[in-house]
Amino acid sequence: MLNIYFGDMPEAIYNTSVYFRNTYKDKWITTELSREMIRDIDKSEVLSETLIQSPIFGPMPPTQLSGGVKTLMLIAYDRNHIFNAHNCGDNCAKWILKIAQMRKDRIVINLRHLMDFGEGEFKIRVMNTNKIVRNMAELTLQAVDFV
Amino acid sequence: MKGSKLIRISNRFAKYMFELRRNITVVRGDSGTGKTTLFNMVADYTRNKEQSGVNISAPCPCVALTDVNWEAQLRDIHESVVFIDEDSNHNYLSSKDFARAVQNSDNYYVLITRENLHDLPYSVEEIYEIKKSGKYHLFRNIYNSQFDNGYLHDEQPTQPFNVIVTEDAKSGFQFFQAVFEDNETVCIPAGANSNIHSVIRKDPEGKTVVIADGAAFGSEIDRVLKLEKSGFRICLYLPESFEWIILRSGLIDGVEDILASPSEYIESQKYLSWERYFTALLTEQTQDGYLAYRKAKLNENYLNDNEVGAILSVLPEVIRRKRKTI
Repeated sequence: MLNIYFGDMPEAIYNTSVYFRNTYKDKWITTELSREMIRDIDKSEVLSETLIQSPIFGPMPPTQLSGGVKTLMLIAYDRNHIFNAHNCGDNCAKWILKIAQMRKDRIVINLRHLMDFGEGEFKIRVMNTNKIVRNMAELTLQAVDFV
Repeated sequence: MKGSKLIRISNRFAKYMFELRRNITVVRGDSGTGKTTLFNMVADYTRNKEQSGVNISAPCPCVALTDVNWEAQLRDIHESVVFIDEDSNHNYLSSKDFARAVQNSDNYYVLITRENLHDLPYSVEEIYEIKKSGKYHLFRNIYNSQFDNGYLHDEQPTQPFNVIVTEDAKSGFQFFQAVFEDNETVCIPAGANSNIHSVIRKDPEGKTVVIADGAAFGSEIDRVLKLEKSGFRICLYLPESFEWIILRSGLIDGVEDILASPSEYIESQKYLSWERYFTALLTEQTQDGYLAYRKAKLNENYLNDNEVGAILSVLPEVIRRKRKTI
């Protein structure tokens, strides 16, 4: 289940782009999940583990992906750390929910803004209040004091 | 620094064009729209100037804050546009130290962040997302309304309201209380911008009108509007400030040029946000007259029929029509 801590969380890795650049694994890039996220958010196509075709930059390395996509991959594949998803826009929200569904273990992320998880139902534990919420109406009421 | 700044930044991949009108501009929005690319282009230019291959056309220097020791770097930057990306900084944007540095600065700031930054007074009109078409990137207001006299958001305009919330209990509150409070409508001072969302949550059944200074409400607007997702009914009206409403009402002569282009008159180092300037301007323009303005206590002459009518004429109809009958 997805767990979110809203507000300052010193143990969360804040500069996810730097962390990604120094730690990502080639095999992350070519998974079906990563291909879909990169296509959806960066409008780019994965050509290989080391090469991505961007409509803006042309051929580019994975380190040049958007901060949002890099953070999503860290959340999906690095199980040893907590990441601040500050550079994930609302267009990353559905992918965070999907990653949480795919991963069977407990996922923790840190947010300092109220991400819009859309109109649908979901299951998120707000760690600040230890309440489980199932839609944006409930999430807003639990999180609004901490952002 | 004062005045609007038209800025063009380009390299072989991307072209950005935007105009800054105030000292603090916030850029957020979806991932993958080119925010960090913009910052990296300015950072390349900061390090290598023209030899970076980045072209910048601007009426003042554009500088990216890249150093770990950001305070030292900032001390040497003056009369410039300073770009800061939350993805490239060391998590200081929401600190009180950074807010203090901005407060004492003669620079403009472009802050690329999704954090609300509660210690910085920035305008709802200066929160942007980037829209791109091929290489071309433009800033677009996230909070846009068609109303001329401030930002107005009301998804249920036919539903009457029963609560008016203002930021504090000063002149603006005193005016709205005198004009609107009756058996059906109560006026509540929140005590601070950051308490407004709490006041709204105390009335889940009714409809709340929030009247706050748009010039400094940028840090609150996201979480206040998101309360609508939880079923709260909200009308959000954000003029620059109550003093701006009075200046805009026609009661005060000689301010038309200023109101038409405030950027050209407001020195950002002296006035961190525009509502402070409008308070000073109104106080100065009315001193010794029958409308002498004091922020702490409303001059009762503002409650004469003529003055009330003029001030209400600036407000949106959805609020104005609820004026109580005396």
